[in-house]
Amino acid sequence: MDVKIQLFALLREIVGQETITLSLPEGATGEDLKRELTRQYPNLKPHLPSVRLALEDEFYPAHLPLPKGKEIALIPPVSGG
Amino acid sequence: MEWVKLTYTPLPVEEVLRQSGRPDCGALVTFLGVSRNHHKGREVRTLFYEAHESMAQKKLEQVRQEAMEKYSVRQVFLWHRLGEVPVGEASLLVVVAAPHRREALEAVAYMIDRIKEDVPIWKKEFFCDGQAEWVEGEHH
Repeated sequence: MDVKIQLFALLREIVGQETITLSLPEGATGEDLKRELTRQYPNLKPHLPSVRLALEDEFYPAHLPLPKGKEIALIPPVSGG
Repeated sequence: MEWVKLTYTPLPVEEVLRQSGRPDCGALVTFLGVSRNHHKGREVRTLFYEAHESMAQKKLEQVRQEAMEKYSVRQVFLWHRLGEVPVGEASLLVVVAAPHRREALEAVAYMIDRIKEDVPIWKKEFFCDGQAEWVEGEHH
């Protein structure tokens, strides 16, 4: 399945794009997504462990399977306020 | 005037204050988070804020709701500025009206802590030496 990923801040700068699409097997989890992302963009590796996933404007646990057809946002540790 | 807002323009502090306060509230607390001219000993030229906007709006509304339930405060404005926020200008505006000062002050502190935990907004610092860095948030 194709998973569209929204990138922000440092992750966006490292990859050089606001969104990317990864091809993942059905049933792949957030952890699988991170592993695949590291494979394609090795420079992301040190940053991914602290990144949270979000789906439809809410945090989404990385151990859960990713729903088909939904965009995933990668949320690095936040620094607003 | 919205209770919760993200804006790319300077925060309208006076306007928000004009709408704030109620006759049953003896405490009106205003907090401004202001861009500072230094970070870990380095001189800062300007700051830049980026957000996952739809999620940040939703999370800010949640944070406001949490604070109102937890601290029984009567009125809360919570605005965050995005884009460039020069040194000396405000990036965060929190206004709380409550019957008494204790819950108002605690609600403000609570909301700021929650913003720094779960609201998808990121700050980038541009230093006077020409370098720029995303601020490292607290890891979970």
